Amino acid sequence: MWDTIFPYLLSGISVGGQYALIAIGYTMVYGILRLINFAHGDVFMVAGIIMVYIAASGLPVWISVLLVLIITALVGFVIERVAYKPLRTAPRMSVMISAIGVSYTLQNLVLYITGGLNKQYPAIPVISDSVKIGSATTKVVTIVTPVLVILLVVGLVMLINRTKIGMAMRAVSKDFETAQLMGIKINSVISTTFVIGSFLAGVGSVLYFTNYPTVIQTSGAMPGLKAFVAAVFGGIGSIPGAVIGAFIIGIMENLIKGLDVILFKAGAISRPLGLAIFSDAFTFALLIIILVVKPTGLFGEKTTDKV
Amino acid sequence: MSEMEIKTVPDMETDGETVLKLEHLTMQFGGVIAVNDFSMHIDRGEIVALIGPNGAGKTTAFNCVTSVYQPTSGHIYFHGKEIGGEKMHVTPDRITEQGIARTFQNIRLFSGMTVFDNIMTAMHLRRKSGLLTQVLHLNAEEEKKNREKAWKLLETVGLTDVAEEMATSLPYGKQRLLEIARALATEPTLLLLDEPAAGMNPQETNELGQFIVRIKNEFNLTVFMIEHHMNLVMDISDRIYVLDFGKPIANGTPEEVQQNPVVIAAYLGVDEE
Repeated sequence: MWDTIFPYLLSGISVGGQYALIAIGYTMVYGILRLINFAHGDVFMVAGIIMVYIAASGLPVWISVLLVLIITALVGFVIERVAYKPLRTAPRMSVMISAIGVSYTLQNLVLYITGGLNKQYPAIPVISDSVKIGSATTKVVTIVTPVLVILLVVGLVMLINRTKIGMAMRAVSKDFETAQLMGIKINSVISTTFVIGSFLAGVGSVLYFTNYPTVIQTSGAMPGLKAFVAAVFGGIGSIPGAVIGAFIIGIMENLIKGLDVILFKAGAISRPLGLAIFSDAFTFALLIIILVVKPTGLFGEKTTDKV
Repeated sequence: MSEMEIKTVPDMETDGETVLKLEHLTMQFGGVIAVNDFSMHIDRGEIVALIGPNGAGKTTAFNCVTSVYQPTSGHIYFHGKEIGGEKMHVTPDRITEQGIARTFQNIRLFSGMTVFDNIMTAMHLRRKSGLLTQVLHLNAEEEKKNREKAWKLLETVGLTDVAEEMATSLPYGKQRLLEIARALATEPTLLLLDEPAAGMNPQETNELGQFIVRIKNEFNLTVFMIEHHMNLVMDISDRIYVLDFGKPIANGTPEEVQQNPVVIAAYLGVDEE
């Protein structure tokens, strides 16, 4: 029984970690700007496409990875400066619409460049290799992901709690105007937030596309949406919430994908029921349920809008 | 007295070194003129009070000085340099950087942060160290100094015993003191206090008055304060400006203002003749 479940659990943890890296970007930007950055999933996809092209240029793969992370962080920075900063005093809805615009722009830009063809993601040495753990054969990336996620999250939490910029981020997320009046330059705080969020999405994309090695202009949509659900589920604005939410969603999705096999081997069903197709439905049903039952999510702060 | 009959009183002359100067400051929100042609100044080392009935535009004037609002017209000078006014687009952090700090009428401490962290946050401007040096602890020396400075500020306001408590869990009076300490952490030369004694009883108000005078001397400050407690205003102010319906209706020493019939009328209302 355990041997049947284990491989699904393992890939669930892995995918969950990749969602977590995207979800952190959603939740941090929301915490500071109260903006759902709809372009975030596309930044993740763009990171994948950049990797495809950089690797094709023949650079050593580790340098390519490093370049991808730097360029992705830069993309996040530029998006904020071009599409969100000019709207700082505009109603929140305008910024959200601008985010949707950025999302479509990125998708169509990539469509234009690739001609809408699936691009093969380069194999990255070591993490693309196969490894056998217990009953499961998997790629090394499956093991690397949760470890890396935990390290990055610990680093991020330390940054937020201990450093000057982290303290400024917390202050801005609590009260924009007062933070400014205490001498905090909000524009640099916001830029830093986008740089960190995009960097993490870049890391996520390297891990994700090593597992699912084709990239197309819509590749960011599904992982982006699921990471968004994870952020809402965990309580948008909360980093630990987003990470835990992402792991729960990743694990549940993969268990549902394997539910037929698990039940069959356990003797509970005599023929496959085709339950695997409900794995995506589960995630979105979860979104509806959490919004109805506990809109602030698992760790979200209860807030009342200021009058 | 109705809005139409109010006469604007020009600024008075003094012979000190001017720190803050407002020239014909006007702030209009749609059809409402919240501050109307307000000219005033503060000299170094003074405590100047801004009083007036509710809705007179006092906090709006503060918001203009700190660049929260962009004034419709007029000019704001700080140490002779124009820092705000019509066509000046300045962000509030730039004002703080120049040495103007403030507190708020409705307390605005950072929730979810400790008393100590609230102070540290306000030291942002004056903390030099970058991200990398902080992560690698290359700046232990400087950070130690900063923490000592923050601690000293807490000593000044007598909040060291609650340093690690959540700022918003403190009793009201202590939150007000913390707001003042947080403002001081930005190292201002001009301190704006927006109703520092709101919600305090007479004894607390009296203590607050002594406290304001003490920090003024200790930190070499100039103080500009909005206040409704007349005893406090009369006790510690060097000069007073009075706003009514956004217009400056009187100014002078506490004695002069107290006896000014226009001020009395604004506060008590007079019968129409």
